[in-house]
Amino acid sequence: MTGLTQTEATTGQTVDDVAVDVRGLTITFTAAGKTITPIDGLDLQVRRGELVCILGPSGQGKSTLLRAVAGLTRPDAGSITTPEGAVTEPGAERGMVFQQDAIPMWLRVQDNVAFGPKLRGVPRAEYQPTVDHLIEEVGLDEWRRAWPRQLSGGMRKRVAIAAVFANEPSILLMDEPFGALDFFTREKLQGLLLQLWAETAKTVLFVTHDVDEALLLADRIVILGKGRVAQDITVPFARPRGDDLRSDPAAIELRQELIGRLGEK
Amino acid sequence: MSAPTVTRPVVTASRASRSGTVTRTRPSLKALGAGIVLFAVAWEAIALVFAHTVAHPEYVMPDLWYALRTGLPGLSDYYSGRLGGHPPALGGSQSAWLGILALVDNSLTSLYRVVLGLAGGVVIGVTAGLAMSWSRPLRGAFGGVANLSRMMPLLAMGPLFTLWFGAGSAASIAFIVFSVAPIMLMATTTAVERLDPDQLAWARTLGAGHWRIWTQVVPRSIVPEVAGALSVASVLAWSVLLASELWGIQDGLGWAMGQALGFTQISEVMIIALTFIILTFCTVRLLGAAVRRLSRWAD
Repeated sequence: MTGLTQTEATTGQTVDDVAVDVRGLTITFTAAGKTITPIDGLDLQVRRGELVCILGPSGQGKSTLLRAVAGLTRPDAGSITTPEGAVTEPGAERGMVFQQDAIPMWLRVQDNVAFGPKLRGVPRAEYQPTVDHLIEEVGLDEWRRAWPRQLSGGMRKRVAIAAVFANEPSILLMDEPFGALDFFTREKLQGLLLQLWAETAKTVLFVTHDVDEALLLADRIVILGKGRVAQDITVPFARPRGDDLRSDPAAIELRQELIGRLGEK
Repeated sequence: MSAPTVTRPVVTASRASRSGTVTRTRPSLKALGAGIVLFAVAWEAIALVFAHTVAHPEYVMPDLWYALRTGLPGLSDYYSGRLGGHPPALGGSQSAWLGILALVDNSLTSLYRVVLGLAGGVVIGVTAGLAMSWSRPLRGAFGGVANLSRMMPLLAMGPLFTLWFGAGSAASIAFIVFSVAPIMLMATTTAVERLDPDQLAWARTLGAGHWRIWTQVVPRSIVPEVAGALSVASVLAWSVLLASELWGIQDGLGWAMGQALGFTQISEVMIIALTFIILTFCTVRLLGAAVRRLSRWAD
């Protein structure tokens, strides 16, 4: 198991360190007369400021877990706790970026980025500098007054990312946000995310099925299987991670090992 | 960061055919003009036939010039004198000018009823639709009834509204509200059903509560979907108004038309019908422009 170290995620952490504490989470769905349990007694702790990638093939409960942390899916058993308290419904402290475009198409770019603070009744004078800064940072300064339909898929994703950061959540949940984008756009947005993450030190839970993406982004990679955490792996490579990661023998070995493990699920 | 790429579609997918050529769904003004000319020519041709086959063609199908020449002064009989002048009802005599005033006077009365009825129907229908989409018990209690109400023979209900609300504007306005609201309600519930759940989830994760979602996010998101129903509702409002004003009410275009029909004044009926068409057309175009402005963010 070269390059892999099992994390001590559930041990050695003080309560103050933990940003997301999932305990005994069970979620059951009924579809077409069948009962499905994508999450079955799952335990997971995520430290403050940590970027954790949840990796796995489709149908392993990755998105279900993320939606539960967001408060969009109610668990049948178990609990999810953040420093703000038990998660029972969505809250502004847990921002989420969806795989599909979910930003309001009826708001121009600048209004989309300011959407969250406006919804929460934050005075304009308070949020506008952050909004302006983020629009510039995601490279949409020239497109402030554009409608989302006038933007490419990658640009719309940048709007979503800027909008979530403008709302200043402490936890960022990202559900395969770059899954539908081409290679080059995805690379740019991964870089953008890392840059914003480094600046804001937010806790990030990032769902992906792409091993390379997980290796590039994650402090830890969590592989789900049979509704639980099957593997919890600390990524040992120093940041910033660039193109050299693709040719690093240790990274190549870890990549092969992860692919092998995913194949076992 | 590299320069962003932008897609600015010249034509939207719904307007472009597979071969890439644009297919119009609305007639151009030129086509509309040509259609009107064709209709007028056809009318004149048929009127000519009647002129040679019946004893009194003016009571069946007068030619257009005759209709205009005799119809306008004839309309003076349906003028109350509210806008000035000395109409026959107050001892004056018929004239084309008084006929025009009669048209304007009755049009304003009808327009007032349509605007209030349509606005009321839209507000009530959309609000009820949002409430039913939001609340499952409400949907269960009223969804079926609302759907059934669309199948009622509306025009047959006209006399009932006159009985209930009296022979005045209240009856017409209530009748229009009653007709328009179910259409808007069903359009709203359908539009909400079709909303992407992730769009609402997105707002919730940004901190929006139910109230803000249902007052700020959902209504704006459904505008393009509801626009089609609004166009249908505006045409229906004028039809319902006509039916309403035929029953006991003493002013408005529908009343004037009913009276003219009673005396077989075909020329007057033709002019009133033309006025109805113009007003309906203008209402649809104005509402269409307003909706296009509200939904300019959509494809």
